[in-house]
Amino acid sequence: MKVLLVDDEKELVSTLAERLSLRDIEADWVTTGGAAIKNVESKTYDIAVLDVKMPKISGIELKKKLEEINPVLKYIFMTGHGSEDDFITASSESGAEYYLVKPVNIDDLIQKMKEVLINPDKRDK
Amino acid sequence: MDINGENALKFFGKMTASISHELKNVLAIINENAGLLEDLCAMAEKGRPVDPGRIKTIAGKVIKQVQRGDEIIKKLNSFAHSADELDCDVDVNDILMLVTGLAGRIALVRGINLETDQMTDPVIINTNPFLLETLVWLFLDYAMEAAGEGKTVSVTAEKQHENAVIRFSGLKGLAGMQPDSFPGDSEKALLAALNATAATDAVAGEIIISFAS
Repeated sequence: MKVLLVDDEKELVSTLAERLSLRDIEADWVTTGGAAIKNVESKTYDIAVLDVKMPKISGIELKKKLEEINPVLKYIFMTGHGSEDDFITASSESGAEYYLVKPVNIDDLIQKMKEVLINPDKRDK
Repeated sequence: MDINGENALKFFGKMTASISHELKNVLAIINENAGLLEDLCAMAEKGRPVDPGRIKTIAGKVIKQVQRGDEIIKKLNSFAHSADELDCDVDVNDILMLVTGLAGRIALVRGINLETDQMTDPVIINTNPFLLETLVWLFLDYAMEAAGEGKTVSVTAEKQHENAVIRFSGLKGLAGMQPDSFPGDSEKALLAALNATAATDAVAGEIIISFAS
């Protein structure tokens, strides 16, 4: 499994990537939407883990751009929204997604990664 | 509720939502670093040595985020207490520092760099601090839109002929904005309540709020 982590909080994504690598999951990280696009253009990933609110481009907008580059890429969103209901409302136009509310439990993240690869169209309840 | 009450409430909601989002990020970073320490401990228990320098670096990251969280909460506390008095002497510089600080994350997400030059001399006016903060936010919100992504918006306070003035500069896109749309009803009501007037200079790329002395 190869994962791209995208969040403007460098300390968050870099640490998360290190923790995933300790669990034998190959993870790259970037802090901007532009860098994410470049990475997806040049490398093959199975899953992109996107922050919802980032400077210049939202995670939901970024997903649409990445889908054009790699149509089989799967997505998990990380959100700092206060509640899961807020995020479900905010993402209602973007189709089926998996999401986690920050702070993220790494075991939950890995579980979501496995689920999204098996059943990418399921929406979280 | 009157229009100024609605404006103030919307402002309160917008700022506290942004602050809670930023605090979530602080907690998320602390959470990951605590998790990494757990991971390293688990490895050590299995006989793999852990570099003390690595632990020190992680602890330093946690301390940095605690300090960041503390700064955010100090701003939140100042913001909350600004509603304590409905009429008092305030330094407009302090109000600008607080509002731009609260709006920092919103500006970042919109790709705007906010600058507030703290003047040496205080600019004291007698006013309702929370309504003044609300007014500054509404004009700042518009100023960021007028500046455009990737630009810097500068907000300063000064005395001009005994009147306090707040200046929003760097609004190069102001000429292209709809001139009839701003100030809207919300801004006009706040200006009236605070005994202030606003002028837009599209050529200079500035909006100036003047407070009657």
